[in-house]
Amino acid sequence: MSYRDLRNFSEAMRSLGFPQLISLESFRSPNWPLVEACSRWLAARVEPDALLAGGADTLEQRVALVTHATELFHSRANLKLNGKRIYGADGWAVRELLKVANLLRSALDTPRRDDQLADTDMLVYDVSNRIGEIKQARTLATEITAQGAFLYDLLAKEPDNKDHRNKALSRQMDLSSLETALSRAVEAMSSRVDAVREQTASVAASEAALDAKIERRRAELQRAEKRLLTLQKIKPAYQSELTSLEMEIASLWDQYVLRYRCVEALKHRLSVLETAQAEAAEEQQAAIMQLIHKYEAEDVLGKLSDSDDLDSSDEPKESKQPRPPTRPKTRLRIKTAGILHTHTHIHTHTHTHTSISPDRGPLAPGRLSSDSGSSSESDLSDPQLYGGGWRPRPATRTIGAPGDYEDIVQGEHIYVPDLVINDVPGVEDPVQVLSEGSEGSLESELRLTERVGRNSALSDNEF
Amino acid sequence: MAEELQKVHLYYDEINKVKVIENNVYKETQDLQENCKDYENKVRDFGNIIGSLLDMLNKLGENVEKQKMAAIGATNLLKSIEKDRESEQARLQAEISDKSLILEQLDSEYDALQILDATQSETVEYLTQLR
Amino acid sequence: MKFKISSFKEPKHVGAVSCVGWNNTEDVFSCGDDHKLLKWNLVSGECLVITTFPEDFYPICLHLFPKINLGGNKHNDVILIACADGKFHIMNNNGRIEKSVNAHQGACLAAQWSPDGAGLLTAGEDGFVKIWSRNGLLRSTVIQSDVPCYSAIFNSDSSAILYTKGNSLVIKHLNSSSKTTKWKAHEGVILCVAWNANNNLILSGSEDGYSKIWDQFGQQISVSVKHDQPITSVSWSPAGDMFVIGSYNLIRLCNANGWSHCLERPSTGSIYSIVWSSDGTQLAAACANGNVLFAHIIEREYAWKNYTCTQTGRKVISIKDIITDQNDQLDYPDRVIQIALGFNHLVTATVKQCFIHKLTSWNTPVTFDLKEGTISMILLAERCICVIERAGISVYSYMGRLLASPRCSRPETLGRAAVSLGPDALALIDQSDRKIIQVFDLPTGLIVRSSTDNTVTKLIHKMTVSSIALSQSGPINERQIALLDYNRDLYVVTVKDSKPKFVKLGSQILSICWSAETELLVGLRANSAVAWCCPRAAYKSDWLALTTVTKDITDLGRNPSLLSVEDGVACICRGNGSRTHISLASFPEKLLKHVDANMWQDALQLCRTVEDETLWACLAVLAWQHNQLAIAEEAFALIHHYYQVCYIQHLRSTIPEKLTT
Repeated sequence: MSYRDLRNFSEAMRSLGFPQLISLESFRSPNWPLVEACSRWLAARVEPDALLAGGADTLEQRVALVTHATELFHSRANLKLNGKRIYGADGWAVRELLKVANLLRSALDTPRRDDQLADTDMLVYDVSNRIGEIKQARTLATEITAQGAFLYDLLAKEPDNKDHRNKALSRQMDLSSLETALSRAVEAMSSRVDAVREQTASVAASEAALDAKIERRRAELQRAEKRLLTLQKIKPAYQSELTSLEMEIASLWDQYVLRYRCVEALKHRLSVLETAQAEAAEEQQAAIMQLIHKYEAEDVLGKLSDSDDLDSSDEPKESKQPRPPTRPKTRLRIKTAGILHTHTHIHTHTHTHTSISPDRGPLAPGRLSSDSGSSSESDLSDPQLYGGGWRPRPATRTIGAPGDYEDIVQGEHIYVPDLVINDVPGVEDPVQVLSEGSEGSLESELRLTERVGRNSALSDNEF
Repeated sequence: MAEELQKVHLYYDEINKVKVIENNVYKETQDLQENCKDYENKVRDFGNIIGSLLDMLNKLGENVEKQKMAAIGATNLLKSIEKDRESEQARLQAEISDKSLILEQLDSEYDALQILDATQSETVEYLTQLR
Repeated sequence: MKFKISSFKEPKHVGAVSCVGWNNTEDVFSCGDDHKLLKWNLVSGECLVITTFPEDFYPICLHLFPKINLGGNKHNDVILIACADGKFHIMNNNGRIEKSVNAHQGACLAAQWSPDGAGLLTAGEDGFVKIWSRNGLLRSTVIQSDVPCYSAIFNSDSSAILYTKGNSLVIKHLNSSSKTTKWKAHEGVILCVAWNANNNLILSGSEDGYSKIWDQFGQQISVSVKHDQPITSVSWSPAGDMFVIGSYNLIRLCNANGWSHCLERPSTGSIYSIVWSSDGTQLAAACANGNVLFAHIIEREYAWKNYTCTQTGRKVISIKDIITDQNDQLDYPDRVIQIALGFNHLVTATVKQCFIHKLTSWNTPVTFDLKEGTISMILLAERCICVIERAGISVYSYMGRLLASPRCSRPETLGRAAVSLGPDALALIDQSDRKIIQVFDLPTGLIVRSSTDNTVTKLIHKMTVSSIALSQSGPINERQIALLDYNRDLYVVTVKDSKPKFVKLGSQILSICWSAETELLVGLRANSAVAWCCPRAAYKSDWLALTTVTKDITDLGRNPSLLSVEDGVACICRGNGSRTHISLASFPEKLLKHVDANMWQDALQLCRTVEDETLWACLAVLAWQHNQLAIAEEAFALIHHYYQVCYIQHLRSTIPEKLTT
């Protein structure tokens, strides 16, 4: 805080053209508005686009202004100002701001263009031919770091090594003892040489023995190979017959599968028809029952018109569970009834036709429901169900005229005995097929029971 | 054999030279020496290069500083031109007012002299009439 | 009148220059923020570094010990420097610090030796004003306040202190503790003040851009135009006839009335200090950009009858005869300090010599050497020249011969109004007691007497006398002196009367002047000019009224002054600086000339021709005074003073005829 600073500041600002008058008495007491005006103005002079943040209203704004100003002056003009002093807005602030003002003033006094043209040339040449040096410096820098690391390791060991060296240097060298030690070492060495020589000799002997052994084994191998060749040349008796039979069985099997599928499709159609009939009958029966109930109720109402309290207690119960529960119920009931029906139907039908059909029959309703119904029941059409020899996804779409069904049914009738016949004389493979088939049937049976059980469980749950 | 020699602290290397210190110690020491020399050389080179670069950059920095000052000065000059014009105008105005003040003085002096002239010629006329 | 500014091309100071001071008329000391004390020689153009002070030495104010003769006690010039750290230093002119005193908290803003050299005062940022002895011992703390005192100065006789207090000025009288005068002077902080010893006026400059002139009672005399920037320095010329103000990039030279002689705008930054040299023709200014400016006053113009002369350069005077349109340039070996034109002579004083040119042959001047280089005034009279220097007053004949050297203490403080030269007398207002007028008889003829046996007449007035004027004609026994006192009343007294009687001629007179050739006295009122044709008739008021000519003049402005009276034409300098010639009493003056030449018939003829009552009255009074009874009788009859006519007739009848002739 001094008169002189204030005087010089006032003078500097005047010569810079600050529009306001800075009185010598301005900063006797803290004068934030003037400090703000000055710093804003100086900032605009240093950096024409700069606009200082902050303001005068609150402490935060003032602090923001001061920090922004100090940053700006530091970055643009390379001047370090003491923000705390500026914030004080007294004589010390003047001293800080005076630095900026003096800088600007000296900038005004700097020589004009013509003097500087010479200097600008210097700027151009310097950087371009120093690039090589810079590269070199860069490689050197990497090398130095690498080597430094290496040296670090070495130096880490150095104390030890130094110790060693010092010890070695300080040790008394007794030449005679050294000589004896050397001679002893020579002796030990020569003895070891001798031992090694002996060892090499013995190794030669064992090598010969091993050679003889190898020769013997090789002869044995040749003999065995000759025998193998002779054995391979002999041909078995019924080979050709066997292969022809195999081919025939395969074609027959194809035929069988086709026919079986047709039969199944027809069965399905039949079951659909039957369920439709059953539903119609049931509906009719339900309508009749309703009528009956109605009439009964009318009778009862006619009789019990004076006993109201009973009806009032009943009617709310009925109205509370009117339709939503009944409808799904009826549907489910219909469905399950349908399944049950088909089940029974299939049983009745298939028992008449074939022994395999009972195994296969119970599957149908599950598969039908899965195909005709929603795919959410896909777990029912698990491929494992058709495991073994069964072809996957028997077609359900092949629904043709009733005549076709008859053909297929007939085909099946014809085929089944064939299969039975064929089965009986099977030598090796048919056995295998049979066993497979029995396995599959067993499996399917197992699944069937499971399925039925589950169905029954479901139906139990439902009802 | 090696153990024998170690008892009297003698060692030998791969080309069967006899040493009084362990081989790896010797080797590491040797390594250290060479590396140190190498390192020193490199650091010196690096220092030289960096020094010259720094010199150049310092020069550049000074130049930039100078140019910056000149630029700030120029912008300030530009900004103050308007102000200069104003002050020039004020100056001329002041000069005009000064001159007009002088003119006023001279005018009044002239008027006074004319009045004096008139009175004196009047007197002369009066006196000539009397004759 | 204007400045001729010269400055050295390279500023010798690095930082701002804060203070300057004249060592003598050629040497200037300056001191600035670069801690250097420089000495500039204006003749050789040299600049010497006297000394370099320590790093923390920031001078604010510098003052050199006043040039007074302290009883033969010859000491070195003593420089007083006040510093920003609150100290003041007394050093000799080699720059050796002899005494450092810690005087104030904060900066010491002003320091001044007292005019009598007995002590010094300092004023500081802490609001204290202190008076110290010559050796730097604290005598008293005169003022204590909480407002920084930017400037404080002594008045001319060290009896009062003027100091600033914010935007007020305060005069503190040292003798009586209670007496202070305080007034609000400016809107802004007052930065600088000056108090002239001659006219006792105060000049102040403020941050509001105005400079104002005040009298010692706080009455505003004039105010300058508004400047854009604060006024940082003001300074009166030693003679008090002009002052200079310094501001940012601006120096303005003003007349004491406040109007501006010239304005210069050097690009120097603020001018922190301006000091006049003791001869009042040069000034040095301390500038904020490190320059020290020197300025000379040139183009001073003088006119007398048909001659005008102008100082065109430092050493060149051009003189012109208007009637013949003859021009000539006079070159002098040294700088011209003072010029006086009149009584058919041009008298020029340079630093070393005095040149007396006859207007008829101005190329062959009479020269004589001056005692010292600081000449402050040259007065001319019909037969002699009075040269006022710091060393003393000397009266020379036009042949360059020393006639007398009257004693006077501190002659350089004499103002132009305080001294008057007649053909055979020199009158001074006593500087120690302004009620006393000393009139020295000057030797006439060829006999040279020593200065000691000059007869001195002391006239004591009841009031403080502000201005005197000696009549320029008539015999020595009838020498009259006109004086204006503090109340602006005009008195006339005959010097050689055994009982001097102060006769009042009028009041509210601003300026007076005797005619150069006759006893016509002209005075100036606020808006009229008055001519007293027969001042000696004043003891009779009706005669005085009859012989007085008054002429109204409009817009004289503030503080007009009479420059000369010739042939009844008064030359008036108006308040704005313009000159006005007023034909006031041309016939009375002609009459007076006839009477002086004892040509009564011509005088009578003139009166009969003009037929003016005032003229007849003048003739009557003059004839009565000169015992020309016949003429007086006729004149009194014409102005209808019949009782006087009867009286004269009675006298003429009783007195024997032979006595009258």
